[in-house]
Amino acid sequence: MMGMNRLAIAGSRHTAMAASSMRATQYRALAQRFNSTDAKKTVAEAAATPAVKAKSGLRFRTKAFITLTVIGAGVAGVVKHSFDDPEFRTLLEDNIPHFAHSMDKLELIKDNEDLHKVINTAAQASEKAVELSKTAYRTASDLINGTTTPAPEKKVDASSSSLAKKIQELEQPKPAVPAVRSEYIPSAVPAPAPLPGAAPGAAPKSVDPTPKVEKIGAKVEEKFDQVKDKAQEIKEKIQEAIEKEKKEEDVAPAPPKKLITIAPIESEEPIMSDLNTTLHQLVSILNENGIPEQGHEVFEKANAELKHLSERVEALKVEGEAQAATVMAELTEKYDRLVSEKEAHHEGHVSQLKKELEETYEQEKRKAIEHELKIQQEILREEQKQELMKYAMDMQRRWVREVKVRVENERGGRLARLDKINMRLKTLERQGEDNAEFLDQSARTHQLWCGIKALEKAYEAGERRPFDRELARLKRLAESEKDAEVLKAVLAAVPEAVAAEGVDSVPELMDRFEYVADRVREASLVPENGGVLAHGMSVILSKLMFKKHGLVPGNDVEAILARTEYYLVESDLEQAVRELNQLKGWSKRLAKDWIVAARRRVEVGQAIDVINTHANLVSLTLA
Amino acid sequence: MSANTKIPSEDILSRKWDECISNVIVKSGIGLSVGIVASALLFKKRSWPISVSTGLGLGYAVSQCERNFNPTLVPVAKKVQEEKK
Repeated sequence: MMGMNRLAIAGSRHTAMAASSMRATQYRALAQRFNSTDAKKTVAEAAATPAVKAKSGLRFRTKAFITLTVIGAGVAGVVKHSFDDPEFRTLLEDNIPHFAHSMDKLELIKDNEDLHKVINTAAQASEKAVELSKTAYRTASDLINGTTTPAPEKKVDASSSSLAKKIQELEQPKPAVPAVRSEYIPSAVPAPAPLPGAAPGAAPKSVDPTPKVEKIGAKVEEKFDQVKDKAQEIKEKIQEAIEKEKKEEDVAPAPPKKLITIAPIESEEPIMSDLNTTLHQLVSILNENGIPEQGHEVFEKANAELKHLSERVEALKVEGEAQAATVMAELTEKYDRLVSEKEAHHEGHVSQLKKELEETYEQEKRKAIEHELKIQQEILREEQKQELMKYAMDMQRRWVREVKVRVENERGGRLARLDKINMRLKTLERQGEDNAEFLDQSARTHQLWCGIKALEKAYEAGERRPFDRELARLKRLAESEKDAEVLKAVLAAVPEAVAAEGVDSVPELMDRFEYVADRVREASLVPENGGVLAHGMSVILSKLMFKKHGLVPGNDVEAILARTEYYLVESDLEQAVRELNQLKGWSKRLAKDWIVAARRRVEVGQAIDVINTHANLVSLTLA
Repeated sequence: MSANTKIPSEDILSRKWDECISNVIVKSGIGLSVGIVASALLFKKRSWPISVSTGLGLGYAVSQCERNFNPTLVPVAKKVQEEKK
């Protein structure tokens, strides 16, 4: 019954899908359901599954589209990345056949100037459009709201920044140029703002100097006023003077009436002549100005009287002179007498003085002579003493010499013999010392040899053994030696750590080298800056490489390892170390510790060689 | 990390491999467990959270391994930035 239902349903569906051909899967599903006796699936499920099946999987077109998009995105990403990362680009160029060519072409397109211009213009156009839209929006909102909004300030474009900045600077109002000058003009100019680049401390201090300056200005003004007043005064005075002169000139001379004439008085007296001249002057003035007749008579009278006066004066003069002469004669007589008396008196005085002076002079002379004599006596006595002393010393010396000569002659025989004995004693001493030194030296050399042997034993042991005690002993021995600078230097060159730890023996080093060589081989194929994958590949692929042996030429890792092994087998550690030092990169890093250990051993060996040579030298020079 | 015991230089890489392998095991194990828990609790027992989480752990471990083996590794974006400068 259920099967009948199912079949009916299937049949109905089949008729619905009559146009499209039935797919195999659907047929199979139907067949399964038809054939199975499973009663669990309901009708809804049976209806649902084919629908799901019908829609499973996208159409080919969509699949192709998605694939192409993904591939295109991948290629674009690879190209972009290769522009940015040159290592990536070289990697791709090396491995992909025509990648380099395509990349060059793309670069040409990328660097194309026209393209840049187009892109720039497009960018600018878009910016303008954006701005336009903004303004439109603003105007629209204003219109709607009835408000006015101010236009925003235009930002200076970055491309023209320098030019715009310069323009802005020029447009700025330049403040008063010298900010310092404001000190001298306090009230007129206000304090200017500082220049953009000026130091902040250059602000003018216009407050403090103003009172002083104002005072000075006031004083200057006062003085100026004074000068002006004075000038004015002078001007006025001059004006007055001019006016005065003018007034004087205005006095017109009166017409002459009658001239007065008087005879001139001549006399020797100056007073008289003065009087005469004044009278003449008066006359002339009066003549000029004109006076009535009365004046004539008066003047003539005056003239006559003046004449009388002058005669009288002359007579008086003569009398006076005579009197003066007699008086003069008397006075001269008196004077002469007095002079002669005085002279006589003085002469007596003078002769007395002379005598006294002579006496004193004689006394002084005598004194000086005595003094000189005394001095000379002293000098002579001194000289005598010196002579005596010299003579005494001479005598003494002669005496001493005599004594010496005698004594030596006396000793001649015995003293010489004593000297000889002394010399022999000294030589004996020296020989004894030399012997002792020789014995010491040989003992020390033996000790040195023992120490060296001990060190060598520690060095040549089959395993790592510390030799710090032997080294310390050798150092002690070296200190007591002379001419052991080399020894001391070499012993000091061996570091304490090495001595305390000891050095590896050659078999140990060979063992370790095998292990190291394996690690080095594993790391030999790692490129520079390799990651996990590189290291892993190196480990795996190195196991596929052949190992080399013997003294093979070449610079690769295998050859180096082979050569090192060869030298190791021959116990030529120095060469082995030198070879292994030629590794590079990770291999070298891995081999570093082995190289260090081998080097230590080599260095200690060299030190021991040097010490051996030194000991040889010492024992050779001993004999 | 080894201030007390000094590693002989030939064992550097072996040490690194040890760290790497242990890292991978630990981190992928943690990822696995987190994935199982998340899938059981949050994702209705679907299978993809487990694989995603394990993959995340594994990837993180591998990246740490890379950095351990190549300390000079720098992310490409930074390199490009520096070159552009």
